[in-house]
Amino acid sequence: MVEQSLSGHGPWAEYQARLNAGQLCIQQGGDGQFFFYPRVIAPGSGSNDWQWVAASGAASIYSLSRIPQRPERGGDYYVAIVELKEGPRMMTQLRLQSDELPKIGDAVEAFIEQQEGADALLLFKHGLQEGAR
Amino acid sequence: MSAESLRGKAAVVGVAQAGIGNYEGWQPLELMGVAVQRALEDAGIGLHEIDGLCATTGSHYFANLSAAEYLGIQPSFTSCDMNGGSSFMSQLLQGVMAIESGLCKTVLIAYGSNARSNGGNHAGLIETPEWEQLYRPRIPVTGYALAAARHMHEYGTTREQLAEVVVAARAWGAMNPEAFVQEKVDLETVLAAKMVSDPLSVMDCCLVTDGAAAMVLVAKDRAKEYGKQAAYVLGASSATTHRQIDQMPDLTTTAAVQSGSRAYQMAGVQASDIDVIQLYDAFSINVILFLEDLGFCAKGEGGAFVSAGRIAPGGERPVNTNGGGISCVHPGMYGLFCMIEAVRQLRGECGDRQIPSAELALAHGNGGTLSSQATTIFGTEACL
Repeated sequence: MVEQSLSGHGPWAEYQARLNAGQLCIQQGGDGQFFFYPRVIAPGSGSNDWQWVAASGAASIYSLSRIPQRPERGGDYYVAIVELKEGPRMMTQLRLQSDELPKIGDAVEAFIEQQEGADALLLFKHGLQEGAR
Repeated sequence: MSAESLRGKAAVVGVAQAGIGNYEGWQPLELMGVAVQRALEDAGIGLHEIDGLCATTGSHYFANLSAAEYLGIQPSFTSCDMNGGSSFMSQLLQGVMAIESGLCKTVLIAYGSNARSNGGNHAGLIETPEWEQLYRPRIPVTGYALAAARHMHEYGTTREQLAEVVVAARAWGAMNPEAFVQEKVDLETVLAAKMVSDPLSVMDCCLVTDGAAAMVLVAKDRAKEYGKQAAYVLGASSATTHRQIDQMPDLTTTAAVQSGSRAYQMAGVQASDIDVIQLYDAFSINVILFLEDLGFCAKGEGGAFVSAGRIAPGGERPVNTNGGGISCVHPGMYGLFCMIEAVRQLRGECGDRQIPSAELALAHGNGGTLSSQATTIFGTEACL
């Protein structure tokens, strides 16, 4: 077991700081299991034996909802729960890269949207051609 | 001591509802107060006898303090268990425990909300889940839409089957003089309704109404002193799997599997024994999920189960005879209304919508976005 220190900041702020620096990292417990969102201990086991690991960014759509929105407000958008290749699931918004409409099971790819004056946002691209990733 | 030792140890002897609809100019505690007065009258119990309080609103952080002060009582037991709409089922179990352990003798469970007349402020104090709000889901409907989409993907459930739930609820509502919406609706109308978060349309969503409810609970040995006909608490259990929908282990299976199985075990009954089924229908998909998870049909067969009018008036398996959250009342939290309809069915008070010879009733609550599940089983004296 690694002694947990309260110096610095918590895992949430660390995750966001890494995202702001352009890197998607998630936590991996000593048992090999990944988890998300960031926590001080691994959910379920309670272990504080974990480390930050760069995530592959590869994921698939676990579930999906199209939310209708007037065109002048930006049009319809897709909220999804995606399952990372590493295992954890997260809510996100999809950014469609082609005319193909997203469906459950489709592959998606993480990207980080940097926002001026605000924290970076993790989103996922859908409809990328194989090899273009 | 085991959970089963609580079976039948307490009974509901008074219930009432008030302010269902749009009551502009009425505060949550005022509507609650009216329901409390009616429930006490229903039970034949004086307010001074209330020594246990479980009060909830959508707008008071210290709801028990506010309600106790408003009512002018000083209870020796209070519980504000807050798991969303299922909180009342959890509070019922805690009330049984408090009475059985001698902490108090008479528990009042009470709720009041002016969510509709207050401009649809139905979320009240509820915080938006932090990791999800970044992505602009329509909370809470998108959470349920994601569960519905996954259920459709895995089991072939259709929008027509979701619509069947709505058609049934509205048909029951049309038979309930207290229901806020009393017009039937056909399948085509439901299917043509405006989409809010695909695959759920505005008609797949529960109402936003005002409303208050109250319930009085006493020990079994006092049950016959009060009220018309006691409804004994035979089984109860709650369970939780997540707060945010993206943390739900399996979007097609809820914690009702656990809460239901423990409640059945405590009551010593199974799904096929249940005469009256009241399920928290915040959204149409809930009814399908809970019918499966509580053992009324197999996993994945909920859509087929609700079809062809099976759960509607005249069907072989009536569900949500008051019209539910979809047609009767949903002021932000529906759990107490759900249990009251179960009690009224056991009392035989439901008029045109009465289920004949109802002896065993199940009322199942849901809270958060399928996060909290709490099952209660009530029975008549014959079931003890």
